[in-house]
Amino acid sequence: MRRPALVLFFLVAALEAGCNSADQTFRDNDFAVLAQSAEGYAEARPDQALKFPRDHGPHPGFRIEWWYLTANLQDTSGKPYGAQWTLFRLAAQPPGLHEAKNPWQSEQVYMAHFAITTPRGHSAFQRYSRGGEHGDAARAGVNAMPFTAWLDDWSLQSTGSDWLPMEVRARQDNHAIRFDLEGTGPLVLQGEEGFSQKHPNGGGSFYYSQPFLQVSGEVVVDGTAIPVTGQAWLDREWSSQFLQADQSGWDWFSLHLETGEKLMLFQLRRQEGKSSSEDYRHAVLITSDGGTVSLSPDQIGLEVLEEAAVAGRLLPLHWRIEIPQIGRDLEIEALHPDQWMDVDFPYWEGAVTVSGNGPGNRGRGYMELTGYRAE
Amino acid sequence: MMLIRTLLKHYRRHPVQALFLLTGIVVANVLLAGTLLINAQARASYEEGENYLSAAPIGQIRHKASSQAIDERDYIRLRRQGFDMLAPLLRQIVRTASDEPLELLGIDVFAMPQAELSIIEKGSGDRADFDFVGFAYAPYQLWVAPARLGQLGSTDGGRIELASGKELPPLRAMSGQQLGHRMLMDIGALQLLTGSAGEISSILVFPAPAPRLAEMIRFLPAQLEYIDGGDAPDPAELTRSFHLNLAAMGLLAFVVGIFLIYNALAFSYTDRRELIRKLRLAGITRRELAGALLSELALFLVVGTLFGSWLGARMAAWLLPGVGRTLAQLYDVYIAYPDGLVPSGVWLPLLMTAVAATLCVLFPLRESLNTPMLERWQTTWQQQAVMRRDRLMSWAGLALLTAAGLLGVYAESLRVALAGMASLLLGTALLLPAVLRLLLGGLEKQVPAQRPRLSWLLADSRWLLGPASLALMAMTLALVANSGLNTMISSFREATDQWLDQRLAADLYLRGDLDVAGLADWLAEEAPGLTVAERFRRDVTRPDPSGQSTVIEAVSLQDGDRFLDGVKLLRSEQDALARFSNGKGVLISERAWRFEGWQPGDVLRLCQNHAGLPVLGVYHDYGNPKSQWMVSRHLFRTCWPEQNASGLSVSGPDSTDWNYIRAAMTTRLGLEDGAIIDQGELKRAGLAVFDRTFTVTRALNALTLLVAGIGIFCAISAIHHHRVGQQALLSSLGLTRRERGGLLLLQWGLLGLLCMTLVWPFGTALAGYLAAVVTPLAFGWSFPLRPDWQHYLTLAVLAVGCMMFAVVLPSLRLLQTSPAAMLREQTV
Repeated sequence: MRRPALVLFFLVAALEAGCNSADQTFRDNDFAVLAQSAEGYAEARPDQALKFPRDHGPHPGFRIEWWYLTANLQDTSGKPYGAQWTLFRLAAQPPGLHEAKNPWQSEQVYMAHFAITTPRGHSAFQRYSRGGEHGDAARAGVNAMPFTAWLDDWSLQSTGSDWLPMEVRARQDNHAIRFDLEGTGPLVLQGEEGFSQKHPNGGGSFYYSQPFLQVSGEVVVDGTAIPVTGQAWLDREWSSQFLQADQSGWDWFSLHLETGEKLMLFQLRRQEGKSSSEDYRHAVLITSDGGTVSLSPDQIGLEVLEEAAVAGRLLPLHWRIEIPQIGRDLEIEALHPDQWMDVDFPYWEGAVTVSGNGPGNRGRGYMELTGYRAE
Repeated sequence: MMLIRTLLKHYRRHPVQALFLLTGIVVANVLLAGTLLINAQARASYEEGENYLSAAPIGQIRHKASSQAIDERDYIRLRRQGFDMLAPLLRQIVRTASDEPLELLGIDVFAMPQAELSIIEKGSGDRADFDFVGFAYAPYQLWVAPARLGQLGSTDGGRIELASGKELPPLRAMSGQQLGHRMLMDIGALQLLTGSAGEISSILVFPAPAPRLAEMIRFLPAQLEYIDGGDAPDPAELTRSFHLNLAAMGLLAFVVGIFLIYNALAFSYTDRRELIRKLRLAGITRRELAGALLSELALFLVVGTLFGSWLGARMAAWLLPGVGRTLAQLYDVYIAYPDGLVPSGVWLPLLMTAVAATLCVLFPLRESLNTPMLERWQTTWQQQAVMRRDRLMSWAGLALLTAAGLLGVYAESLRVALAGMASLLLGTALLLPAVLRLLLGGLEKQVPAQRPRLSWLLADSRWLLGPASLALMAMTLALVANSGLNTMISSFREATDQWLDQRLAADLYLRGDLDVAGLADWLAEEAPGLTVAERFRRDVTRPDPSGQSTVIEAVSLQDGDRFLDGVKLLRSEQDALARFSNGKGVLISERAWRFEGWQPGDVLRLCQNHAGLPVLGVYHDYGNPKSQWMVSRHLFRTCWPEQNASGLSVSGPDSTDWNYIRAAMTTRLGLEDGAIIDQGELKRAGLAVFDRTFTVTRALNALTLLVAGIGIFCAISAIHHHRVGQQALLSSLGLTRRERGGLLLLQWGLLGLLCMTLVWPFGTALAGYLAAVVTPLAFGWSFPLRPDWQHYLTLAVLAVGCMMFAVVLPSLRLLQTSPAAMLREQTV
């Protein structure tokens, strides 16, 4: 599962609640906005099999969807870098509620983020657009075949007729990313054949990942191009209703281990005083050939080792993850604290290093922290 | 301190006098402070520059053929190149069912660069105030400044119906958005509303690094151009005349107020002569007394100015939307309606009032202090002194009137013209006492000897001219200004009315770029006898005769005598119209002639193919803030063959069923209803715009009159206070109360009517001055004068009524007091 609440929160909050700070919305609204009725939208159900390349494209009948790429990189001298490129799609109204008489009236709204982490700093950018097509031109959209996802000149697209390889491009002011992405492993369907359950009552989302991506290209920081190589992880998810109303935020990890395995793990934090139950956790270990091992909440040990003050908040930037069933004991530490996404709806998203005993406990990855209130 | 308190005790016994003095100071300040504030507010708005959702563009991308829309796909392609400093803007003017033009701006909130955040930060900060989905999706929202909402007489959530029968999205009052006269809505919704699918008016360019901007400009398609914000015409420059006129109205009220201040001071000092004499006998020096009296005046000035400025600020806030509407309609310039006015100190009004009041006080102060200490105070208004004063004023008045005449003939700038107008007004006022004396003297000679009461009345009125002349002057000043402005406005309106009749020669007007051949073919079949003509328009930049680069609006005249006859020339060369229709020359608008300086006979460069065409004549072009050149349709087409028509006009015989044609055309051409407008509607809309444009002038004019009313009321009340003895005397002579009341009313009514003898000729002269000198210099429009006699009648009734009212209230007390008590009071 991947940051559904964040996205829903971003877009629904942006579109319906107004552009206040994330914390404001959390305080006032909690996750009430996520419990909104999905009436008029399609519903994600386990009996619908995913089909490709169709499902690389947009699903306008669902309220929300994203194409989410993170990359752990190094330059020629081995210094670590990170990059993020995301396109969110949100239906502002159920399709067909109002007839769109011109392209501006398309109910599909896109929001894109891109960010670069350097050994010392971090830059984040955002853009918005409506989805309508003006004749042969649209500011934002996604095509399944050949795959293209774009907002203005920020794009992620297949370079040929196949899904892979891809290239990703984004530029803002004197910052840019230009990567070629080679596939080194298979696509992974999350949950039950791509249906990821989110509620005890059966609701959920469609979710698949492409965690095996080899990156080569360059990041441009303050006008200077730096050649980089590394690994990337692409997530795809769509749904119309995600979360319980009593959750305050989440901590999420996508890790590339030195063994070639991948580990995805998240916990949804319950709001204080709202429920006596535990935070909800889930993890999946992806073997180097694409096989998966799902881990239940009680198998996952998660401990905050250290907190740091970032953007007026106290954030857990140092963790210990223990999963004895698969013999893992890892320490996760942010590359540096300043990977704050200072966008309309701010959150922390950045590169991390993974350390521990043996290659199965070492590597690097990305971590996301949301819903932490300003002190 | 003791001394001041003793002097101030006078006002405790005569609080009305204190009130009159304060009123004078407030009156001098209120319109002055108000107009200064309005001008300061507009200036602040001009300096702030263009502003959309708190984001200020540095320039715009436009179609090179200025009136043409941009294809929105060109914008999308630019964005796809990564030029995220661009945002689309659609600007449309629609007409409400009550013929009010509304400027609607369509924007894409999703394209505004990072502006979403600033909306909330700079706005009320209330989340409920911002609603993306509400703004960008049906039923949409129409954002308006709260002040504009009030002006439209609508409420938050209300809807406005358009002349086309469509409804605008629900209104949303947005404070803190610098919206001013404009209204903001979603671009897609505005395209639908106005039938302009796929069109945008311009692309806003927001700040970006210089190399990126240069890259964007290189990338522009050939038909588009970037216009830097710095190259756009400066609104402050455009609207200077308007603000100068406004300031002049404020000054006029100031002068009226100063007359009142003088009047009040004169009475208050005269009354205190006895007290001053006693104080001096008690050993207080003249210097000490003068110091105390001036301190007392300073106290009044501070209190009065503060209150006047506060009232002025209220007035400014009230009038600002009206000013915004006028600026929008006259100049296409938009100012913000702030939630709070810019702090523009009270210092200037205070300083002006202080200087003027000090000058006013000098004469009465000297008189009171110089009263011989041991002599009994004598009758105040000695006839000889008064006559000397009147003679002096008459000469000054005549000199001012002569100056006004000279300035009127030779004025080349608006400032000089306004100075001439001020001379005319002041000159009139200064002549008043002498003229009234003359008239009363003449009347006295006509009265037969057996009518002693009438003789007494006239003689007493002549005596009254001493104390009352200043108040009468203030009233006359206000009445002359009022009647002058009124005559000017009604003359201008009539001229506009006739001009619209001539210029709107076609029966139907169609907006937009339409297939003229197709329409003509269809009409030939459907309704033979109708003719279709294209209308063309584009902005060109040419050096004016002084070499300065000027933007000129080039327009085509439709073919046919009907249109040619509608052009009335106020200056022309020989065979001007015949040569014009053969494409042998250009006609220029009055503004181009007056402001830019082209003269009939001059040769100008129209375009590359026609580099030496003569100016054949000058035509009226009311209401257009741009200078215009008119050429024949053929000439326009040969100059700019690539220019699309801005619209079509259809004309035919009187018997045509236009409703049918109109309905048929709407269906046949798939036109939006708002795209067709008939002659009558267009004319009605034009006149509605005219009337709204002058709303503020009328409001200020009415305020001036109100000020004069207050002034005369104060003055007469003060005079009557001093007339107790007179009444006692008349009563002792056996006149009943009724008779005395009748005499009083007759006396003041007579004075009021006699004042009108000056108001009539000089009001008309002022209107002529406004029409022939001020308006042409301010706006570049002249028009013939048409005196509005009915208004003079209204004014006469108003003036007399006002005086009667002012006489009756204080007189009631006089009439009810017994003669003995009155005589006693007189000797106190």
